Amino acid sequence: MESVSIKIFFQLVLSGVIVGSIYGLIALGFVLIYKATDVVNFAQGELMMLGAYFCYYLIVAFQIPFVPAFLMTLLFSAVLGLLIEFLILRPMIGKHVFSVIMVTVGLATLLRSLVGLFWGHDTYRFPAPFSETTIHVLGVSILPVELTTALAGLGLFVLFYLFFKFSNLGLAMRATAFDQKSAFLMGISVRKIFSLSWILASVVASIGGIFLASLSSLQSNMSMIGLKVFPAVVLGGMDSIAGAILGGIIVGLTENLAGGYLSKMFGSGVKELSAFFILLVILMIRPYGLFGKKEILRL
Amino acid sequence: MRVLSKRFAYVLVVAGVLTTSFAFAETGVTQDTIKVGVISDLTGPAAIGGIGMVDGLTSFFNELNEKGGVHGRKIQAIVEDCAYSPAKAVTAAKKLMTSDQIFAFVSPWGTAPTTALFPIAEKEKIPIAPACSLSTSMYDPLKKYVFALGTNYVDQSILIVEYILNDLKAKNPKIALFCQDDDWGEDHKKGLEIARKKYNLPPIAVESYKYDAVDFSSQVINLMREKPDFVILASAIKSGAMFLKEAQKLQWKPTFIGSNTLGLIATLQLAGELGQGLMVLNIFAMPDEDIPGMQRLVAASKKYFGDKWMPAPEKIHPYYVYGWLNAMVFAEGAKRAGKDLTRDGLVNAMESIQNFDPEGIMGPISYSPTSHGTPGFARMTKGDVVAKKFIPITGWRAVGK
Repeated sequence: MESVSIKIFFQLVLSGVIVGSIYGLIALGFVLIYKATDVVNFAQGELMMLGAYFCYYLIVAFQIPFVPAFLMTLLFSAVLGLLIEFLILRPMIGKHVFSVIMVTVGLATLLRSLVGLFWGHDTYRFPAPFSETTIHVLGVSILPVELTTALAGLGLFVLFYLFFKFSNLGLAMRATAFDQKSAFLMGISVRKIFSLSWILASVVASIGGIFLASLSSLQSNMSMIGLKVFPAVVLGGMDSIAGAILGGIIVGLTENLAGGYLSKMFGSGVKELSAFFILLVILMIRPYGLFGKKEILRL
Repeated sequence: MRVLSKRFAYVLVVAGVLTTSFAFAETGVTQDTIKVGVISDLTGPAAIGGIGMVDGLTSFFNELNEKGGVHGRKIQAIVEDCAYSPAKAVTAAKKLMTSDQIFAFVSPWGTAPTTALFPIAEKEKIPIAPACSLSTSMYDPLKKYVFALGTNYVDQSILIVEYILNDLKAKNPKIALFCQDDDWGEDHKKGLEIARKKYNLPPIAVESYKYDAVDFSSQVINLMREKPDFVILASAIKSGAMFLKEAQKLQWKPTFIGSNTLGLIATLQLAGELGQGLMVLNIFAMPDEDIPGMQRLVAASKKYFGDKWMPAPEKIHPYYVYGWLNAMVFAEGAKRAGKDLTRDGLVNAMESIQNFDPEGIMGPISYSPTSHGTPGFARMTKGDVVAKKFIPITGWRAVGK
């Protein structure tokens, strides 16, 4: 009996980490844009969906194997991110923050409708190459696609951590986020940094989208996860890479443990509620998120 | 430009005079047309079904109009999108009533958007005949101007339990339910409670999910701990397929039975080999069945939509069938109401429909002044992954028989 409940606990933790990695990947996209440009991109979920659909299209319509299709999707997302920044966001520089956010909301609607027009609203099985055979380790079960998702989340986290810590470009991005004017005066091309952050966010989004579609399925309403991930972003701190990934994992874990242990008492809805509860508690203690930058206002 | 618009204005005036002089006493009904409004989800979360429903409905009306319509009047369906939003459904309804001057609503899509239309139907005395929703809230409590069609979710739950007891011969089975966290799930819970009391069964374990959930592991683990023999999946296809995968991952093998929402080819595609032998309760006949109603439906689909719905008959979406049936029932009501069609006349005529056979596509349809829902009929089907369809394994069953 004892060992069964331990197994269940670990299974819940593992599933929480996996779904949390997906949340983290999407949260990462929000943070990358917010960190450099101070814009909250409400079309992040739609960028993710578009990436997944594009990859699906390459595989199904052109019979391209998964790996090249995946790489081509990344390239497509990079170009898309660049174009969106150049055509839509750049003219908005200096405008009121609310207007910029409304532009991203509009972009979200546009992308959703375009996907609906091209691919319809049916639910498709995503042709991922992962084996369906479950791996059993130490009494817990995991599917290869889930393992890959968790590893990809971890890999991207390390990659971005190193990028922002050591590369010139990463440092330039941080500098721009910290103080745009000084960075500009120090010879950093702020425009390039803005473009780059959109490119990175779009690429990260499509990676998240492809994994999410492999885990579940391809559907035009998968973009709704963009808003669902919001607690994870705020929890981790709007401007922290580590915060995004950890925030995602904390939300995933909380949801699953609450769903597994509290739903008998409070009903199944406790699963989704728990994320917001944790969010409230953390924001009471640290209003800028777990890893967010602390801005002190003296009154 | 000015001349043109002036000429256009004349045309409008003349047309206006003509229509008023020929106009009939009831809004939306003229000498040769009946205008009806269709509010559906064409761009929202359930668009695939919503588009199918509209196409099914229009193909029925097209065919009917070619044969002369109802008492010499052609039925003109004006379609509006609500993207599954109740607020947009109300806006669409107001537009249809004021600018298009429709006679009635036919087949408004989805429980939440249709519920938002109830106050309008009551206040304006405009019929919803019938709605495209399987929720019991459509007609319980009874609303004078609202009708519904199709075996509701409460009856579906009871029918599934009766299948488990009578056909699978399970003794005192432990049953669990996986459902969406809303009215739809509540209806299934209600049905299972009725069946549990009636047949004196052990308590039903329930786990639900939020509409936009992407992870179902805690729900699967919780139900697994209850060790049920049968798990009823009353979910959308994505969540249903993911539930099955999660269960397989944890090597949990109860018998799964789906409600009609899983009876789609997409379920078999998503679930892969797990769809093989998956039992699903279906409430309409299968589109590739050799029955007169389906042959007519398939031929009409081919004629008006080419290959859109029918590269093969079994590909026709169940909601296409639903739209077709709703159009058929509206036409039957309008026919019975006679030449002097009025809104109240339509309601009375619909209430007089008894044992109307929709050419074998579903069980017989009956309404009465005290019941605006159709009696529950369904058939158990089994998923065949190779043939890519659900194959009936029982005849039509009515609740409690």
